[in-house]
Amino acid sequence: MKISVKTEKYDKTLMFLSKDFSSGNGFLDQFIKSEDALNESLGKTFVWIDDKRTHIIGYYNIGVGYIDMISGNEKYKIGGSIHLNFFALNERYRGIIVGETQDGNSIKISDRLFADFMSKVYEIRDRYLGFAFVTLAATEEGYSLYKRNFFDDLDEDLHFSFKDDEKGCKPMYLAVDS
Amino acid sequence: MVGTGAYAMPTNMPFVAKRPLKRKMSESARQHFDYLMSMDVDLFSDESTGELYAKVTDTKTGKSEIRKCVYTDED
Repeated sequence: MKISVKTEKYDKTLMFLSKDFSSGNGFLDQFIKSEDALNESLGKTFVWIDDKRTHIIGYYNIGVGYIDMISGNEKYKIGGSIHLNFFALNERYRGIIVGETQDGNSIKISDRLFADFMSKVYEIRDRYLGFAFVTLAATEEGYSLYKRNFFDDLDEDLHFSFKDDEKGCKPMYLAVDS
Repeated sequence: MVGTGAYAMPTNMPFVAKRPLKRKMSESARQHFDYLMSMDVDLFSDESTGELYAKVTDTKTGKSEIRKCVYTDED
């Protein structure tokens, strides 16, 4: 069996592939199976599917946000962001090492899916929008993935607004200027 | 503040932070993402053994490498 990976924008014609999707996180599984994943008021969803279109390998949903700095009773906007609303990998692919970085660190399937998300970030910034950061709210399980992909914890005096489903998660950010 | 007609002000003018915020992507982070984005990954399974292999192609150089996938507990 050969699985070639391709990225597609998620739409109604691909929803049938979501019925067997399981990441190990029920909330993330429910999202991709729901109409919310197609709701562009929330964000845009991109899926990794196999070339035979039999299943979803992973997905991410991109929206926008910004980082505030809190000083006394005031909040100051310090930069706009692309916000990673949702990110999930099919548990069949979890923990699979496919290569090594030049520093000798392991590259997992989740890292390559995350780089696919980052390529979208670069494309948006190069062509359409100006912003300073990428933000996300990490679950405990996802924290190590974002940490090894150079995201930092947001300091206590910095802030971005959480979605309802992000309560209890760890706010993280990455600057995109070079 | 957003006005009408010709008088529109951006609301996202950068505030000068009172203490350093990491505002630049590090060179190592940029190289990391450049490297990952240049990788094409195809997965193969050997149906007799069930073992999984990855064919990783560097799209910049065209070089491919096939390696047996290793599993970890980490996501």
